[in-house]
Amino acid sequence: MKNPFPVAALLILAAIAPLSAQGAGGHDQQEGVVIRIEAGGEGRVAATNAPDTGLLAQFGYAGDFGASLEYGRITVFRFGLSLFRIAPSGISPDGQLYRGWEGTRFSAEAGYSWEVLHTRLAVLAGGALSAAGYSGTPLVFAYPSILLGAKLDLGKREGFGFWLALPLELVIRGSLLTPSASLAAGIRWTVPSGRKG
Amino acid sequence: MRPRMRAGTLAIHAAALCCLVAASSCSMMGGDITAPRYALVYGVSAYPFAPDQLSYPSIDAADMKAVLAGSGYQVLSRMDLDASSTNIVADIQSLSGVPSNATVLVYFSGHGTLDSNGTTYFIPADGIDSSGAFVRSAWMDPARLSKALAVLPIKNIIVILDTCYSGGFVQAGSSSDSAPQNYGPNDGGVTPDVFSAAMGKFGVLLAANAGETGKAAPIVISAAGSRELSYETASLANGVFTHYLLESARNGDDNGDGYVTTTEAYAYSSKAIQSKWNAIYSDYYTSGSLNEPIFMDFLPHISGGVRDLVLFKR
Repeated sequence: MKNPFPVAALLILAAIAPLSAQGAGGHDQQEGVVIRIEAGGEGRVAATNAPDTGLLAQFGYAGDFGASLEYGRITVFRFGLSLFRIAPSGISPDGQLYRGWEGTRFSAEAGYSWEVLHTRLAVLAGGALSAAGYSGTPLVFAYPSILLGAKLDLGKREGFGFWLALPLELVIRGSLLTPSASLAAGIRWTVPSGRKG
Repeated sequence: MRPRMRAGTLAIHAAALCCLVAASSCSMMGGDITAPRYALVYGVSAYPFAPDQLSYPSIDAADMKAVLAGSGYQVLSRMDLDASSTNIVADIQSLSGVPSNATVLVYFSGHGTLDSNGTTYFIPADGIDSSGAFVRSAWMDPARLSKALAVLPIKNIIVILDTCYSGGFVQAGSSSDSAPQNYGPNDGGVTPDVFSAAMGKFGVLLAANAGETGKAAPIVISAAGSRELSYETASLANGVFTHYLLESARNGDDNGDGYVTTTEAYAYSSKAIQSKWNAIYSDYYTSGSLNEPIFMDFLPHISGGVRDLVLFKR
């Protein structure tokens, strides 16, 4: 792995989560097990940088669906399904660009949350596998990716609510790494409502 | 209300961060093409042996020359007997001094064939003598073409072949070409949707993904698969594939940026062949190089990889 950032971020997250849990003892902490069902959409910008082509931006969008199991502040797991499309990049002065691609992503994440300014801020990390095709062609491919993101819950935790997120993804296509950042928003439904500790 | 107001403030901050990311990426958006572009264009209608002559490849080449010249290419074209293997290789070598940021395009329209080993060839004018005997030393297979192109000190190479069996020149790279090499409901099947094609061999694709480097390789577009024929027709006064490829120069700019990339041109011509040719000829058949019946529907192919190149300027 040439880019150590995602691994480092995961290690930092793993290190600070237990400390934060101890420090958060006096807060309004939920201990019940809840299941969250989510749906949303996102706008994405990816930076592709192949050795012979150089750095070019690609924009895209996605529809996301997810279900997670949470215990108190801990997101034990979150499974996600995304249908996405990344547009072709702009064109370099010598006429090169990156192809657009579209497909389906299956993700699995875990995380931890904090009460921040009377809202719930969760940090999630995990991985994904995607099946995709280059737009306009019959060429198909598959790739893994690393996920790291921050998610903000708006409104009450129980029942229906909204969320806003800043997901980061590192697409791994062989030795070609494509980082991307998104702004995502959506709705959620939490069942059951959980109990206060 | 208070928590919602705070959450709203955070949302604005998050949106601002995304705007910052987007703004910083503006420098990566690209712009006008300033690098030189060269094209070598060949069409062979008049092979030395009369029964092997075709009607439209030299017209294909002339039409392609005009469109490429209008897209900013410096074009060298050779027709009929002048489009020999010796001249093709020499023409490529003559470009060995082009700047490293140049684009070189090679276009050939004429006969192609397939041998019993599954190797495909395109046949320059000197590949058939006046008695109709094959001169195999003049045929161009993928290895010979790659060797000739290797003298070019550039990374932007486009190869377009309007010949039978030309799909043998197309490499899918770390991706997989889900279009059958003998396309059609009566042949090797039709192109599945992306999702089912990818999910059908997910493990294989994931393993192949490890080989992706993003490094430059020639982008090849073929008129047909490696197991099927391509066609010419009087109603279009061109090769079928070349006709729609040329049409893509006018109508194929899918994202409206003023350029038609190889992928956009492929997508346009492939879709047009499906709707305007295959819809009519999928139940008609003829005989191929190995004397097996081949139904007359066909589909272009394009090589894999993350890169794309501008083909036409509108």
